[in-house]
Formats: sequence, structure tokens, C-alpha cells
Amino acid sequence: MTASLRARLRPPVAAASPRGSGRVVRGPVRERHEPDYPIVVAAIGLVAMGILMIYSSSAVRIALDPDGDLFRALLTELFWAGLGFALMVLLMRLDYRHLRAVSVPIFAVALLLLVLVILPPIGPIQPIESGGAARWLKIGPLPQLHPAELAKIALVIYLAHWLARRGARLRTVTEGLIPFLFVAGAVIGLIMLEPDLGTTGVVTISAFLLFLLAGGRILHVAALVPPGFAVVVLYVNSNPYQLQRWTTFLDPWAVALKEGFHTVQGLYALALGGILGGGLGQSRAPGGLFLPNADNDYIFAMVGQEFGLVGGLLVIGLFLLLGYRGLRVATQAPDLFGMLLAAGVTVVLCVQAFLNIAVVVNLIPVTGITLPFISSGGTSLVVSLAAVGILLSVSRETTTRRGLQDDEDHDRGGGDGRTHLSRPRRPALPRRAAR
Amino acid sequence: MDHARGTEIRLRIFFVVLAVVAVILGVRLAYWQVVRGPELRAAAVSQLARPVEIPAIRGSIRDRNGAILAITAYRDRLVAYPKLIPEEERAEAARTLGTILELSPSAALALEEDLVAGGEYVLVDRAIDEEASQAIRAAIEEGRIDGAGIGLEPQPFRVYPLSGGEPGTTLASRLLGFVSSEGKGSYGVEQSWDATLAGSPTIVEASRDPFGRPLGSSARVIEAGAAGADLTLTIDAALQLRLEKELYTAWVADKAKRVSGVILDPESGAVLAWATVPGYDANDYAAAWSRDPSLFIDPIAGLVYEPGSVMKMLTAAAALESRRIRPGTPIYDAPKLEFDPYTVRNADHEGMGRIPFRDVIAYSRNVGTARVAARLGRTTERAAETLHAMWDRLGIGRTTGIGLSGESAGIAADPAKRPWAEIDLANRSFGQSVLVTQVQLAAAFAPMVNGGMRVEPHLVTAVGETASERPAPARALPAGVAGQLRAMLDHVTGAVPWYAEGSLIPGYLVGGKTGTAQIWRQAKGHYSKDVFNFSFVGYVGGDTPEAVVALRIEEARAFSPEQGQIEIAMTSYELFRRVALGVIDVLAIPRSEIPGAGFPEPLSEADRELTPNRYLNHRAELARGLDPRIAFWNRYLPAGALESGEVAENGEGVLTEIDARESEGSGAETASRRSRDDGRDRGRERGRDRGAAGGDAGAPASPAPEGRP
Repeated sequence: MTASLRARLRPPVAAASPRGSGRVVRGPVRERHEPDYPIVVAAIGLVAMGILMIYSSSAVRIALDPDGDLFRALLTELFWAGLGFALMVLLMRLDYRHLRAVSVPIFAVALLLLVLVILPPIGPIQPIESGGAARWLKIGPLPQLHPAELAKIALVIYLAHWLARRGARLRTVTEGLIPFLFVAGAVIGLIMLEPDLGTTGVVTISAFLLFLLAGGRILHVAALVPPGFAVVVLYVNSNPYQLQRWTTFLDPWAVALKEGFHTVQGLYALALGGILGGGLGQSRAPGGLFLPNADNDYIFAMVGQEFGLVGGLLVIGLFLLLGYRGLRVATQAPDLFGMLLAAGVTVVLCVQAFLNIAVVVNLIPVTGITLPFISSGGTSLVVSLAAVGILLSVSRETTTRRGLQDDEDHDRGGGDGRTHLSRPRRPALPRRAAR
Repeated sequence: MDHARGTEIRLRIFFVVLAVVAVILGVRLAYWQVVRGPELRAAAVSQLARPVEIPAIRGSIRDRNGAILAITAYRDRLVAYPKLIPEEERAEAARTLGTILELSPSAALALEEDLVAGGEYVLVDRAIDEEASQAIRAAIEEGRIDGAGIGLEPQPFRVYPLSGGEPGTTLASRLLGFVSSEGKGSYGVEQSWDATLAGSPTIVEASRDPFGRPLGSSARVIEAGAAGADLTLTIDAALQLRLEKELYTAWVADKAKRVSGVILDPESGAVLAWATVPGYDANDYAAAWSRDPSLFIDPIAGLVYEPGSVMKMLTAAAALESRRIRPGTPIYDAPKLEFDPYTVRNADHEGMGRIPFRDVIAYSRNVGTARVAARLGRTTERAAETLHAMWDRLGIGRTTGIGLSGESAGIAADPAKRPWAEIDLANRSFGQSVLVTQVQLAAAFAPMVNGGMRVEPHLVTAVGETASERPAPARALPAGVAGQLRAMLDHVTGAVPWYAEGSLIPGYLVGGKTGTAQIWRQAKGHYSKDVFNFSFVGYVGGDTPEAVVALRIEEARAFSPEQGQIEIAMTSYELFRRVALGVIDVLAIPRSEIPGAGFPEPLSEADRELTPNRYLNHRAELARGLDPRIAFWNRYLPAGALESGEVAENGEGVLTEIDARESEGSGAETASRRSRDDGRDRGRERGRDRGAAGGDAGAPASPAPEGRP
């Protein structure tokens, strides 16, 4: 990075200055205000719920574990939550525009990890297969990480950056749709190869939504729906495993002891909860035998069992709150990048949550994705909280002024294909105020 | 178009979509939790809390005196949950278990593979013994085995605590059967009274932990069930043991396939002992199963055979009842009887000429019996009807009601359905072409010795505390006929020298009838030449008959030194005496007050012709003023005992002598040893004294040399 570029990347606001936000050090003056607290509340609520559920669902298992540390899973989860919140606060305080600068390297690293995970082990890099669906990567002594989780957020950041710069060209096929398909397709394809169909779905939906929000043509997307649908049908039909997931979805009770086991046991757990639930720690089908994956894919069933319909609706409601506030932040974002970033983060979190819940209530076939914030899993939790941090960062600069100021002219002006910082979206505050 | 505005609209649309999805999810959630809730909850609860059947504790089986023949105890079932054992410890755990259980190398290897594979559940052993349980508990405590991954679950286990008379068996194994690992009574009493013994299981609903094991604290009784009832048998364990020992002796001596015996109380029909050798160890029935599954079959009620001459007593019963024949009626016994194209022969191919009917039976003349049978009716048809009616009345061809599953009714051809030919009548009169079980024979002989009352053989006196009710005995034979028949049984053992020698017991009533039957070899299409079934059905008692004993030495390997002589190491009547001595000993039967009880009869007319030397000896003894009975006993006493005055003339001294000998031995072991010693003496004696042995197979071809030692 050249010195001149570094200078241009220098944040306009001294986010990291010890005395906190809003203090102008140099550069154009920006107005920063409090973050969007409902989002914070939703995130904290969901994480708290997750920690309770993980304790509840793992307690029996761990008590019977010969290594017998009752709180191991819980402490692990608390550690990741702590790390996640720290990262959230950090990103919240950081000007989200910095992400534009790192969007390309982040995207590149994410792609690299996705490639590594489907390759055979290389030296200290060990891909770990889990249930034939999601894959993990262990690099040296570092904790395992789930590249697909990272890739989701990396793709959102990069697409936000890339789409924001595309401007009106997005409406064309050659300069809009096709490049977009290449960018998104790379990530979607790699995740599909793992194969992690759930995350593939989340990424696809989020990517196309961002494309539309950035000004892509609905017609283009609509034109892609039939071939996409055909590909999905073909894929499911050619793959007995996927086909069986589909038939299981249609009648889980027919195979209640085999393929439909997860689904049926999840529904049993929900039913056991009733309206008010059995109470915390009162679930009767924890862990092992009856409700597999109670601490991750099917954790929503645990919520439903312990807190009943009320608890289930609360979780759905918190996600909806997150979605509402997130999209509100997006509409009020000061620039297109911020808008796309906020929308993308919100979409990724909400779509994944709703897909997960839809699986548990048997509205869609089993896909194998986790419930953000609630399911156990370090990468997922940290990435989700980081995403909230980004959202909060955008929320600090929302404005009630309608409309967004594109930075496309400004981008065009660059012309060197490099990442460019946006100019202040609105005219700087009245000079006299600054003075 | 205003781009910003378009974006905002799209965001709003997206939010609406999100909200709609959330509502759909919420509705769907409510559908499962509320609408379908009760139904799914029921299914889930039934899955979480599946009813568990707790089998009732099986009732014990006791003998008439309360001795435990079978009882249910608990032993540990050893199971492993390999997944709960840390991976690196699994192989070590398997090795430790293998050492404790003393597994064979291949079994140990299989166990190790099972554990290392890391399944949820491995059944290591159904029932380990107490010692291994303790060793494993100790190993868990010392931390050599992982306690979470190894489970010891107490399981009911049937124990047969008494040893049988045959080494390596349990008492009355074939009678009792065993209980399979699934808790099902198999064979014998365990199977026949399974429902009574097993009771009904308690059904308990209990929640289960993540491994599917019921949680004790959440158990709820749904069905109380009933404990299994204890069964009190009519069997006397001491007598049973004694019988088994004697049968085992004969089994070894005669190289027989099987030896079995049943002892009935003639007054009540209660079975006092019921044994077959070889038996098996019911505590390790699996070993017997792999050795020879036929060990489980109880031949006494379950297998039929041609009894041979024992059946002559039924012919005699029919004949005496018809009043056409009396015990003294002379019958001409020819060497053979022609029924073209068949010929009926006496076993020795000789004829004894005109002899009283009682001697026809005593010397087991086939031809004589066939002639008597022919006189049962004016026509063959009527005669057959009469004989069959007697069979039927005495229970031949019907199950006895003993209650054992698998009891056979035998085959007694009914002349009303298919007329008997003359040869059939002849054959059946002496026990060929008719198939009976041993218990049928015992039951048929009971009326002959108890004054004519038919009794139902039975094994169970009480279920739990409730005594079983027995039907009142019905009359089967007129009292007079029964008395004549019993006298005839006495005559068999009292008059025929070799039977007298082999079966009489001084001071006790003894009577019976032998039977030697060839065995039909279906595969070869003829009767075997050297293998026979030897039967003896008789009674023993003090003043009154106390026990009916039916014995069968099955497929004993015999040798035949000459025509009509069939020698085996221990004859059926010798075995009978040993068993009868056991009965006297165990039941403590007092000596008979009847003078002459247990001594040979004064010689009959037949003796004059058959055993001239013996007859002459008898005459000589009479001339010297000696009772022939004393002469008889002389052979059992040391030389000179009589002369030295130890023995009084009326034989009382002999009895005293025998009293003294008997009081030496108090236990069954001693008695049995003494009995064996006696046997040796007698064997030596026999070799010198008697030229011809062999049961009813015929009269000896040459007169036996007689004389005092």
C-alpha cells in the first residue's frame, strides 16, 4: 500500500481516540450518535438465550462424559461470546468505511480458506469433515474455524463495497449482472462444494438481495430464477442424499427412526414445550439419545421445549426486531456502502435464522445450518457478533434525510480500479458549525 | 428514477417479506406446539417413558419336605458402553475384563474389537458369577476400568442348588427342566408350570436417560403384576438322590443309553422320585445343549417304548377279572405258537408244559400268556376288546394327567377301530406292538398293589400355600382281583430263583414283573440282536405296599452266552432291589410284621421240573428241619454262620444281622456303598451258583447247580 493511499484511507473520524466518539480530529466532520440500542438488545438477548440453551442441552451429556467437566461447553461458549462482544464493540466504534479498504483482502482470505477446506490436508492445515456436510479448518494450534461462516460476512463486505462502486453500470448485463455472478458465484460455488447447502442458500439469497438493493434489475434476477430452480431440482434429483432429505421433509414420520429422526424428535421437543414450556433446564429430551444436535442445528427445538411457544415467538421476534432495526439502519445509512453493509449483515443473520427455524418446524427440508447467536460454535458466534458490530457502526451515522448520495461519480473519477474511500455523503456540516 | 427511493422501497419490501416469513414461522410453531401439541406430546412421552416390564420373581420349586430344588437368585449382567470409555482406554479395559472373566484368547479379542469399535452398547456376558462381579467392582473402584463405561446389572438367574446322583448334574434335572436366559421355563416342570412359576410381570413406566436406561426415580407402576407362586412337588429329594445314584450305577454297569426310574406312592399316586440318567447340569444348561440336546427330554412321560413282558400283568388282570382263569389254572406252555405266517416263541425257545397260570407269569412264558389272552373272549375280537378295556382302565393309551407338557399318550391300538389279528392279540398280551410310557406302567401297577384303586400320578402337592386337590381314587379293579395280582407279583420275585436272589429284601414286601424287549430298528427293519430295553415294575413296602417302582434300562448292551440267556451286568430286578432298599432307607419303612415277608416262597411245583437240584436241596433242608428261607439266606452269610448258631432257625438272626449292618450306614452315601458291596458279593455268588441269568427272557436251559457254600 502506498503512502498516498494510506493517507487517503486515514479515517475521517478518530474513532480510536481515547476520549470517545464524536471528537473531530481532522478531516471532514462527521456526525456520530448513539448506536441503535434495540439491535444491541436483540443481540444480547439472543446470545443469552443461546448460552442458557447450550448449558441446558449439554449438561446431561457432559455430566456423563468421562472427562466430566460440567461447565466446559458452557465456558467455551462464554469465551466465544466474550470475544464476540469485544469484537462487536470494537467494530461499532470503528468507522465502517475502513472496511472498504480491507474488503478485498478479507474476501481473498475467505476464498483462500474456502479452497483450503476442500483440499486435502497441507502441512499444519487440517480440514475436518463433520457429518459429511459442514467442514472445519484447523490451522496449527488455532481453534477450529468454519470458513463458510467467515465467507458469508466477507462476501457481504466485499459485495457492499463492489456494488456501491458499480453504480448505474449494475443495470447492465455485461458490467452488472455477469461480474456480479462471478463474484458471488465464486463463494457460492466453493461453499456448495463443501457441501454446505444451508450456508449456500443463505449466501445466495443475501447476495442477490444486495444486488437488488444496490440497483440491480429485478428482471435480471427474475430471469435467473428458472435456471436456478432447474439446477436445484437437478442437483437434488441426482443426489440420493438430497433426494432423501426431500422425501423426509414430505413425510418425516414415515422414516421416524431413520432419516426423519432429527425432524420428528425436534417436533416432539417442541410439542413437549407447549405454550409456556417446561422451564429452564426442564427439557426431557436433551442431548444424545432423542434430540440430536440439540446444541446447534436443533437448538430452536430446545428453546421451544424449555420456554414453549412464548420462548419460540420471542426468538423469532428478536430476529424480526434485528431485521427491522437493521433494515431501518440501512435506509437511513449515510452512504450506499453503509446501506448495503447494513442490509447485507441484517439479511445474512435473519435469513440464516429463519431458514434454521423453518427446518426445525419442518417448513423446508433439512439444510444443516445453525441458528445465529444461539447455536454453539465459536466462529458462528464471533462472526455474528462482529456483523452486529458493523451494523451498529453504520447505525451510529444514520440520518433522517431521505435518499442516499451515490459515490459513483467519485468512484469513476478514481479509475485506477483500486478501492476508494467515499466522500462524505452529504455536504459537510455547515462550515460555520464546524468553526 | 430516484435510486435512493427505489432502494428504500426494496428494503421495505424485503422487511415485509421478512415479517411475513416470521409470521409463517410463528404460526407453524404454534401449530406444532399447540394444535398438534397433545398428540405429539403423547408420542414423545411414550417414547421418553416407554413401559418397562419387570418380570416377577419366579417362584421356587421345593420338594415335599421343603428342600429347594430350584430358586431364582440374582447375578450381574455385564454390559459395556464403549462410547463412554475414553478411546485410549478401551483396549486396556477389554483386556482387564478378559482377564477377570477368564475369556479364551479368541473371545477376548472379539471383546476388544467390540469395545475399540466404540458402539453405544455391548453385552459382554449375560450372567457372570459372584466372584467375577466382585472382581469387576474392585477393578472399577481401583480405577483400572472406567466405571461409566461398564455396567453391572443384576439379572434374575435360576439356580438349582442340589447336586444329582450322577456326577456333574443337578438333582432331577430332566424332571425340572431349566429357565432360559429370556426367563422362559424350558422342559419339564419349569415349562409345564411356567405360568404359575413366572407370575405376571410388573409393568412400570419410567423416564429414560439419554442412553435409554430407565431412571429409577421416575418409575410409575402401571400394572402391579403378581409374584410367581412357589411350587411344592411330591418329590422327596433324598429319595430322588438315592434313585439317581442307583440309576447311575446301572447306567455305567450296563453301558446303557439311558436308565430311568419313577417311584410312585401307590395310595395317592404322588411321585416320590422321577429320575433319568444321564441328566445334565441345569445351572449350565447351555453346555448340555451343545453336548446333546436330547438330554433335556424327559423319557419317563415323554417317550414311549415297547415294554415287553411287564404288560403280561395287564393280561393277567384281564384274565383274572374275567374269572375264566385263576392263578392256579393250569396252562399248557409250548415252545412256540403258530399264527401263520408268524410264530410266537418263548424267549428260550422251550416249553414248560402244563404249569399254573401264576408260573406262566412268573417265568414269563410268552406262549402261555398268548394262550391265556386267546381265552379272554370267545373270539379274537372279544378277547381283544377285553384286553384293551383292561389297558384302558389301567390308563394305557391315555395320558396320565401328570401335567408335564410333552407327555405322550402312547399307542394302544383300539380293536374297535381296527380289529386285532390273532397274532396282534398274542403279541400285545406280552407287551409287543404296544407303546407305553414308564409313568403309565407305574400308574397301571398301582391298582394291583393298593387294592384296586386307580390313582392319578401327580407331581405337585401345593401351589404357593394352596394344596392341590386330587380327585378321589376310583376303583379300577375288584379288590379280589387286585389281591390276586399282587400275590402274582410276589410270586414272581418269591418263586423264581434268580428273581428271588436278585430282588428280595428280607423283612419287606417285594413284588414285581420284569420285561425284556427287543428294540425295533426302523432303519434296519429288524429287531436288534444285542441291545434291549430292560424293564421292571414292582413294589416295595413294609406291611403294606409303600412304593411302586418302574425302572427302565434302555438299550443296555447285553451278551447272550446261549439261546434264551441275556446277560447284563446289572439286571433290572437287581437295580430294583437297590432302589427298593433306597426307598426303605429314605422313607424309613418299618420291617414287615408279616411272617416270611422278603423270603423266597416255598418251592413251587414248577421248581421240581425247572430246578431239580434246588428242589432236592429244598427237600433236604426240610428233612433237616431247616426252613428253605434260611437256606436261601445262607448264601448271603459267611460260611459257617448258620452252624455257629448266629442265625436262629426262623431266620431272626439273619434279620438281626441285617439290622446291624443297616444301622451302620446312616446316609444315602453309606447305604449306596453297602448296596454296591452287596452287589459284588451277589455277583460272585451268581457266577458260581446260577447257570443262567437273564430276566423273563426265558427259563434257564440247564438246571442251576445248587448247594450251600
